[in-house]
Amino acid sequence: MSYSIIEIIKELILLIDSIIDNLSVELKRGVQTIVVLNFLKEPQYGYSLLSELKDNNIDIEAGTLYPLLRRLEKQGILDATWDTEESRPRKFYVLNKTGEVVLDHLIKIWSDMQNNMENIIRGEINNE
Amino acid sequence: MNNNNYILRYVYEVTKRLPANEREDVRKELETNIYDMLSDDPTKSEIEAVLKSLGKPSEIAKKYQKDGRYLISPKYYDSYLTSLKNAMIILAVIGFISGIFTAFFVEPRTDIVDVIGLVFEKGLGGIIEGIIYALVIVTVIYVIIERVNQNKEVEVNKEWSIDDLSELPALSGTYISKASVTFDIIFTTLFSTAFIFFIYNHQKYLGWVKDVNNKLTLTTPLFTNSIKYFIIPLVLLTIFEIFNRLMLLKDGVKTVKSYILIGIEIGLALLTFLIMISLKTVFNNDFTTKLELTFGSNGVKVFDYAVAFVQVGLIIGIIVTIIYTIIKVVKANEFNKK
Repeated sequence: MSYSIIEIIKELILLIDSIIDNLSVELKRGVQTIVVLNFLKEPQYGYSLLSELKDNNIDIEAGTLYPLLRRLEKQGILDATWDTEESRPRKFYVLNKTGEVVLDHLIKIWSDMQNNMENIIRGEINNE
Repeated sequence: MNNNNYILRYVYEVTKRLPANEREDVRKELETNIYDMLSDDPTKSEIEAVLKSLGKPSEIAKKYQKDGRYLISPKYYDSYLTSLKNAMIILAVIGFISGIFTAFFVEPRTDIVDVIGLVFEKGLGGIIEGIIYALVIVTVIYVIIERVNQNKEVEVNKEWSIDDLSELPALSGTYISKASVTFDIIFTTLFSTAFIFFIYNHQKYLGWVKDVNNKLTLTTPLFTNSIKYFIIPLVLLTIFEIFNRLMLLKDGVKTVKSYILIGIEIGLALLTFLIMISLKTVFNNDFTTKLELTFGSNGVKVFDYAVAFVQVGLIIGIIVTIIYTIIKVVKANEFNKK
């Protein structure tokens, strides 16, 4: 009897975890973009950026980051150059003028959202 | 050195899924990125770990081409489904009707079993042909639309007007399924054409049947050839019936107009039958003579009563149809006034 109750609890935990995973993907995606753009104020290549992000506790997969960089370049906010001097050719990305403007705006939007959220959460706490 | 093979194969697996103009660039970049993530002389398990952390090649390839790897993208999908449904229904009906005509007029047969078999075969074949044509044509058109617009941000028309909103159904709950209306069209056509066929060949099928040399033959027809004059109004009626049902198909609900039209349709059909059996010249005198010879004057009386019975039934039917239609229209008007 108690064995099956444990199974049910496990199932519930898995279910809630999967819901959290599912809903947090969108949340993380927006944050990831701002952070990546922020670190591209200096020229970086794929792996160097990945390391920097990891050092700053930003949770992004390599398989997500590399395509993201290409996409941002296609959108016109990053400039890319191939560096063929080292043993391996490396593609360096850096924020261009357009990208700087975009990043400023995104950060502004993010700050506003942050303040709004704090008010809401604080408001909730005050209401309790 | 053999281990490098895995990296090259992984990158190939990814790039082969990408458009040709992107492959070389992505290959170079991804290869470098992978080597950067490994030590100078990586073991097979190291390589495996890194490649697994990147994810399945098909998945990462998808991320490299976020926008549009659709045959028909979500933008157009709803419109595609609607067009497809409409086209399939219309072409199925057209295919069915043309199949029926082929059965009757291209290869004339007289054996009734043959005819029914032919009608089903040609009719069903026509339906299937129509559906397949619709499926292929609509899909190809939408795939072309998708391809042509792939690199453009096409604004599917977002402006709408409240005047374009659909009409409400006549009464609550009078939504009709398109499938049932399509079946209705098929059976109506089938029934009407069979009826017209019997009228046209009445001397073979409607009348006194006798056993002649162990074979059932029709010796005396029930009707005279003047019944053939009714074929024209019957054909017109059939066309009217099909038209009404196509209207139902288009509206998707029973509107006040559809109630009235169907009322007229049924009324006219009953009226046609009524006139058909009421004309003196319709019934074959030879038949009534045969009746009298076989059953005596009572035979003829029974026959007359039977005809009168049907006449009265038809008249009642017409009256009921009129009353029913009026009730439905009045109810619908009350419902819509709310």
